[in-house]
Amino acid sequence: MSVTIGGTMDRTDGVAKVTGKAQYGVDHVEAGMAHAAVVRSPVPAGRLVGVDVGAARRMPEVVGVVTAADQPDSYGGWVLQDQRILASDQVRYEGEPIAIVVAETRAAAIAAAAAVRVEIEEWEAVTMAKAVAGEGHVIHPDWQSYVPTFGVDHPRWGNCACEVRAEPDGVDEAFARAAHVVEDTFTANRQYQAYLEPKAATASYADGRYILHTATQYPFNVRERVAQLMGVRLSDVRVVGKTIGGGFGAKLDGWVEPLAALAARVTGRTVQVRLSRAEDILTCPMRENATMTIRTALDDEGRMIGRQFTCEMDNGAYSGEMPWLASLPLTVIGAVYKLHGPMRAVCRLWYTNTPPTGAFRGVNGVYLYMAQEQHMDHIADTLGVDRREYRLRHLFEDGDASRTGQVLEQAGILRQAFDRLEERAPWQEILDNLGPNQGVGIAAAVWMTNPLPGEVTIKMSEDGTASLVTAANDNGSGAVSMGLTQIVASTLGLSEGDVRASMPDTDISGYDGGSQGSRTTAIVGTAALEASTKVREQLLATAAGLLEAHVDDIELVDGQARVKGSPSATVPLGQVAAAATFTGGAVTATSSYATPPVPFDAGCATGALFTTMCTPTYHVHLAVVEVDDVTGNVDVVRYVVVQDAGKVISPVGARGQVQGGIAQGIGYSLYESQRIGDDARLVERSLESYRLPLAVDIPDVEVVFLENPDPQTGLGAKGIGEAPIVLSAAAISTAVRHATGRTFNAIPITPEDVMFALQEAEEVR
Amino acid sequence: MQSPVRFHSATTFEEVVDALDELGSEARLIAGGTDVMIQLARGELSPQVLLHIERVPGLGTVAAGEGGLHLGALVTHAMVRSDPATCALAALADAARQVGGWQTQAIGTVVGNIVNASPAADLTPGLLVHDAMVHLSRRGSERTLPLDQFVKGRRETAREPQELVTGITIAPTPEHSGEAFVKVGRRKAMEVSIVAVATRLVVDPSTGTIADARVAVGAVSPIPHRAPASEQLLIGQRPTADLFAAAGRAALEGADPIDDVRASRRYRLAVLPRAVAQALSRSSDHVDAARSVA
Ligand SMILES: Cc1cc2nc3c(=O)[nH]c(=O)nc-3n(C[C@H](O)[C@H](O)[C@H](O)COP(=O)(O)OP(=O)(O)OC[C@H]3O[C@@H](n4cnc5c(N)ncnc54)[C@H](O)[C@@H]3O)c2cc1C
Repeated sequence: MSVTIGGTMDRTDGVAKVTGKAQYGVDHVEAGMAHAAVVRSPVPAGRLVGVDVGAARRMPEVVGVVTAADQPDSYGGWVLQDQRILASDQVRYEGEPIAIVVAETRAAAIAAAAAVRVEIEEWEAVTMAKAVAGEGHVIHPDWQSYVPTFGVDHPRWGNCACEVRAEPDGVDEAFARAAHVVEDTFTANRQYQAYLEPKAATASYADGRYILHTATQYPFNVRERVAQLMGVRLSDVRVVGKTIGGGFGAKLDGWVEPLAALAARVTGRTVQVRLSRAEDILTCPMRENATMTIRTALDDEGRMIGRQFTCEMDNGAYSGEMPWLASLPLTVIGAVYKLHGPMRAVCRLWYTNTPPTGAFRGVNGVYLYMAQEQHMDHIADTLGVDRREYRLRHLFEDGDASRTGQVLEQAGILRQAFDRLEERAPWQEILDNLGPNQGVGIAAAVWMTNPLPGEVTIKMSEDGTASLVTAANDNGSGAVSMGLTQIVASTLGLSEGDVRASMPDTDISGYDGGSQGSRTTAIVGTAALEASTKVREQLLATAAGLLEAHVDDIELVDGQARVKGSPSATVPLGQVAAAATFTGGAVTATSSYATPPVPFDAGCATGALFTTMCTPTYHVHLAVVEVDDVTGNVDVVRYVVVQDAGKVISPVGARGQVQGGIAQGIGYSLYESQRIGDDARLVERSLESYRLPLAVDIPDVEVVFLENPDPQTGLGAKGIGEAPIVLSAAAISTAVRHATGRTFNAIPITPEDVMFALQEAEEVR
Repeated sequence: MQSPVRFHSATTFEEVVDALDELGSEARLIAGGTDVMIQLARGELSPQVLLHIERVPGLGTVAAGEGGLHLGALVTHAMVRSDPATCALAALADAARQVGGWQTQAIGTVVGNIVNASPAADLTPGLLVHDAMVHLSRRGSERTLPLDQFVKGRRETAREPQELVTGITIAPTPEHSGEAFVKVGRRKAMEVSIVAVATRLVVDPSTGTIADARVAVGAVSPIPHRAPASEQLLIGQRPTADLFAAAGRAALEGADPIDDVRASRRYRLAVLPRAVAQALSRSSDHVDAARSVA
């Protein structure tokens, strides 16, 4: 049976994954491959006085030891080129690579790495609190010489890696005439991506080229990073993908790949770098910790007439993707609900002596919406208005604009989402039926689909199957193994198993923006639809000749071309493809797609690098929680998601993304504290102390999809994957606030926070 | 590099006690291995031999006998939660149900749990409530110790290196009793207890007052222990929420919890009285439930 859009199909990678046959990054093996162990800084900050590798070199089976002296004199970085592969004269975070030991076996490499002696004159580490206060040493004394990768620099100085500032007129006046002023301060901890497969990469160097095999989410970004850091051309690097054991953003940039490339270059061997779980945690570009203050002026009718927002974000020791994210508050805070006046915003990204932070599903949207929605509850309570009612009164409508001047044409979907939620989970009924220690939270958001380009080539084989060649990759979401496969198969009238996707290879497939920002099914899917439509046209033309019928009378069904209305006049697609191949040429087509730029107000702020939400989506979440008054534990007992999907391509995949996003969001909101000590070291350093929620801690999430097709993407699909996590902390924190009558300003809300609040409340009573 | 550990899987009791006699502390007994393997991986143990006892016959049963219920050394947590003789003993069965996850329960043993002597060993409080006796054997001799004399400190027991623990006996459960286990952890499974409490109440049906009270707490001091101050407060009183709250507060006497990455000392001290009160209230409910069935 032909695959259909909106129908179910098995993931093409499912059997291999379940039977253990899938080849992940850690499984890659090459003849003559050697293994690397990384010598890392034991301290967060200091002057690197010396690295003695003599003893390590003499250890058994050691191939070579690589130090900073062996690396090219070049810098790299996704947004700002502030990184090198190995620390040279300074160490900037605990776990920073200092040397690479290469040996015949992994055990020998690890043993020899332990014999490398590192001498460091330790300095007092700079944490974010110190950086904000202007204390401590300048972590990058050469900051002024760093080159922005895309040519445009942004305001930065000393330990401030990026400052975004919006200073519209009239803010002070709004506060001066306010009937009420509501202010809140929030903090958020880091969150570890905690995928199953720790990072791994294998590199070889031959004939002037680097070849990397790695389970990366973004092969072309890794290619760029390796090229920058090794000081070579982009085309001198080839990146070949492997099955990804999860990434959630942490495998978008090149972290282990440059280490492997450098080691391969210096030793002349194929080298595999594979992190232990402990190393992976210690060095992972986690979702950043942040502090926020949000202050709103209200007039006597309860309308929001002015706002001030500040956000301090922890960049860690190097920037990675982070300078982009410093502008995201402008598109979140002040969107969704109408702000009838100006907003002053200052967002700063701080260098600290901690591991670099980075992308994690939903990026800073998770804590920004948590702040905005808790603040909305605070405002509603101040005004004595029901929380849902207040939100509905001030909800965005079609054509309302965010603080960057982006017009949200379909923002009216928000009201539709509230309505559908009301059908599913009537607000008053929930309030009336809450049990003891229970509370309900409600939250709304606009989110985006990453606009980066993607390319798809479809090739018909003479057996009637289709190859889908793309550098878009499946990080586990099903975006390729279901989404793209489904689009191609349904367009060509093929059955399950008749479309095979290639692994990404930067030498073979066109540029792809990586598996990030919910983009693959919507954006690459547009290219896939276009390429398969072209292939379809070629098949129809050839089949028309074979069947002696008019092109318009032919349909492709179940792997056959047939004349509509006469089921006996058919020809298998294999025969059509073979006929074409040996006459006019093979049946193949390539298409690429990138989201057109979205207009915005260029004068809205200084330093803003990321100014719009492309292919916007709209969401409303509701959470019911129960607080355990013995332990302070919070249990999420009900969770409802109403999500605008544009068009659901793969219902199983879409549902899975929502369930998984909420699971991760519950982790973020209640369990996963990755704390940073005053000494700038991570407090939670293993999965024993870093508490990921378990299946038993997660409710079965109720999902309602809205289908308001996007006018630009091929099938009207919008991004699905990121959005579910974006509102989780907002919905859960407001529910805990309702259950306890207390505001919890720090995410995650831990049992300790709740317990001490309960105790305080008892003492007052 | 350290020399590799030899693994020997014994098939008879004699083989085990002989090997222990010969090797003493150079032999490390391994039952389910859920503690041993982790400690080996962390480099905390370096025995010459891992002496595996899972195939030794006669150690894997729960049997009612003289002096109470006998749990052999190979009785697992999964057996405790499902065996008809133990599944009704909530102080034990609810603890067994919450040791790690199903995998841990399927292979982890109760004896391994107490010999490992973690301050947070989940079965210990329930066993203390049941007056458990520990049976030890070595070549040519045997002895029995009350559990509270067997566990001596964090990872420290009265066991001699030559001794095998063959099993545990718990005293017969009195009539009109009800018991409970409360575990405090951040998740619903796979947690090292932040606080663990086992309680048992015996209520005199003629007076409605508490005839006997047992309160045992884990993870709040180096050794899980009974809380005599709480117990004394309860005996002779009618079960009420206020009484249980007071008994909970009394359990703070003797509690000296640590401050670690899992939970602060302050939190453990805040939770302990509440967990004790909750366990007592559940125990009391169980007495009532037993009475209404009878
Ligand atoms: C993932 C995971 C989760 C866990 N969760 C919990 C939990 O929630 N609560 C909890 O209390 N524990 C927990 N544990 C610890 C462990 O599972 C228990 O302590 C278990 O009961 C140990 O039993 P075992 O048979 O595996 O012991 P082993 O590891 O085989 O042995 C433990 C110790 O006892 C000794 N020993 C074993 N049998 C004998 C014997 N017959 N005579 C003398 N000495 C003996 C061993 O030499 C060793 O020192 C967890 C462990 C893991 C791996």
